[in-house]
Amino acid sequence: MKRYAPALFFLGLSVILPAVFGFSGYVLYLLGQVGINALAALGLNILMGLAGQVSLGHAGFLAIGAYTSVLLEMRLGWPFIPSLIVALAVCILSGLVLGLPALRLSGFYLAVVTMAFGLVITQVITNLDWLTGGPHGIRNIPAPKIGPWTLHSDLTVYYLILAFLVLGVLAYRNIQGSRTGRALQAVRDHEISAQAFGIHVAKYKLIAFVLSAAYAGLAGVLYAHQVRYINPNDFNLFLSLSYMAMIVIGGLGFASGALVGSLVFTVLPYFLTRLAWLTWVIQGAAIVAILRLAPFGLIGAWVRLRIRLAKPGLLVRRVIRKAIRGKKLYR
Amino acid sequence: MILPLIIGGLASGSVYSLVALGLVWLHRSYGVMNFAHGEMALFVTYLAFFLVQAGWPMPLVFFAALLAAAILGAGVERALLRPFAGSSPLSLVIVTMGLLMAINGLASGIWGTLPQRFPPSLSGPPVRLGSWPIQRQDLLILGVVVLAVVALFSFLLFTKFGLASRAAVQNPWMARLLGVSINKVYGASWAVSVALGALAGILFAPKTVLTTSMMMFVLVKGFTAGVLGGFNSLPGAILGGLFLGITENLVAFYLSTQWKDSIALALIVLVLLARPEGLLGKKEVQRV
Repeated sequence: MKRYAPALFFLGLSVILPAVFGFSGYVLYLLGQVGINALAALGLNILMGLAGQVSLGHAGFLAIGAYTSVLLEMRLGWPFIPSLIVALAVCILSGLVLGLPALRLSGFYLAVVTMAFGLVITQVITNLDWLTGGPHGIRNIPAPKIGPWTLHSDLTVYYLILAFLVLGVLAYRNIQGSRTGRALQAVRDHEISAQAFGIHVAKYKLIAFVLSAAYAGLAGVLYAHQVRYINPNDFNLFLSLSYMAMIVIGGLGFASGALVGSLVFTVLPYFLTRLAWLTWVIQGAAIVAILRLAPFGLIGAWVRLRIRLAKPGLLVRRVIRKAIRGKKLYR
Repeated sequence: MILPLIIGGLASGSVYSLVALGLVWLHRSYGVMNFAHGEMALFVTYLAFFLVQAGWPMPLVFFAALLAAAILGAGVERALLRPFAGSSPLSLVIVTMGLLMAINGLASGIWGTLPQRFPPSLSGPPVRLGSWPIQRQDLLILGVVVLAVVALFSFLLFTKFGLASRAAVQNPWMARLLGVSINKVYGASWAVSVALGALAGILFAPKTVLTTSMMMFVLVKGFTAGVLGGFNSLPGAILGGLFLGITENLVAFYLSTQWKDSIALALIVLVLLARPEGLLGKKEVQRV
């Protein structure tokens, strides 16, 4: 039980947080955005953190998820859940399609192919204006309808996002510890050795792509239903870059890294300033500063701090060693 | 009809080549994929715009902008990248992404986000080649790019410092032991790379409108060109850029303008599937 105490604490906190802020619509919107970004970042963390494959086209999957579900609901009148499922299926399929070239490419080549994917998706959506409304986007997206309930209020949508986020985190933790997760990490650390140990590298790379696409698709569906307005430019290259920055800042490979990164990236700008350009400047500087001070992300820094605190001897030894080194007596 | 299309394609393609050259050279010598390349170039392009408006003659503007770009590049390396020496390539990439955001914010803070018209460096009616009109700016671009490429390659091949740079690329430790000042080489690599990018920005700005999002698009093209040619080959970067520019122009004319970027990118993915190491790239063999 003690193991889960922090997680349960934060879960409880996120349940009561809206009440703390008096159910203000703005705070609900912001918290929902944190959850949506965290889901997408979790997906990218499977691909980059666990499997070590770079992707700069993550936002493309959000776009696919968002547009598929919204179009099914608005053009064909489908309810929320079936359209969500179909949207996820479409994302998984496109994850497979994008994963196929990834089997032959690595590193920067892969980065560029995924970037091309993201750009092509936004351009396709912009150009198919008879279907998607083109650059003007789609307005008045209906509130999600689940069975007899329609989630009209901001609060219920927030709880819907929270529920999916909890599911997402649980799934991530399970994947991470499972045979699949260990295989992914082996592929990340040394592809050739992993192959020598009998891991089907191509299969696991595809699995990573598919899983990350599903997470991103879910985030896209939720985004469309929270904001109630989507346009192709919402899912540009900048968004993909921010997801990458989120998980690196939070901590590559950690589930909590995606959560912390999303929190920092989504909430910080609102506290800093009302000037958009200054926000970018400060955010950029913050990324560099965090990387300088905590190379393994905020969660990595926290883990190291906890180890230090748990074994005070280590800390004392380090301080002594540093003091000695200062007097050139060390060694 | 096909000749003017190819020349127009060569013009935009050579801009992509310049961007790709800067990226590839930095990647080879410094081991970092510089995502801030476009934004650093953008900043210098705005600087050049400011000078043009202040009434400076065009050659002087070019000279001042290149100088500013070189200083910016070397300064960024010294202040931001060198403290990260020894970190993983991924964290270096994220640092440049932070830089991208910061510089983009700074540029829109100083010059605003409204689109500006950058006057063409060479004005006048199009030159006629037989019966086909060719834009003067395109000719200028081609000329300047050829000059820049010749200058870069003669610097690398025929000067002592160029030799030192190539040695540092091949084996930094050995080069250091033989007396190459590696930090100077790194600083120079950044200076040259950013100057190439800035040149591309100034040449390209008159062909479109100057906005803070202009270079993001050019950067993507530069990446694509570099990957297409093979990310460890300088001639590959040039070839990749030209190939991309011509393909785009042909697709825009014969198929559709709306879909030109998508089709060009799809073609490139196909090329990469057939040759994962790029057109002129060498396959990297991993030692187990």
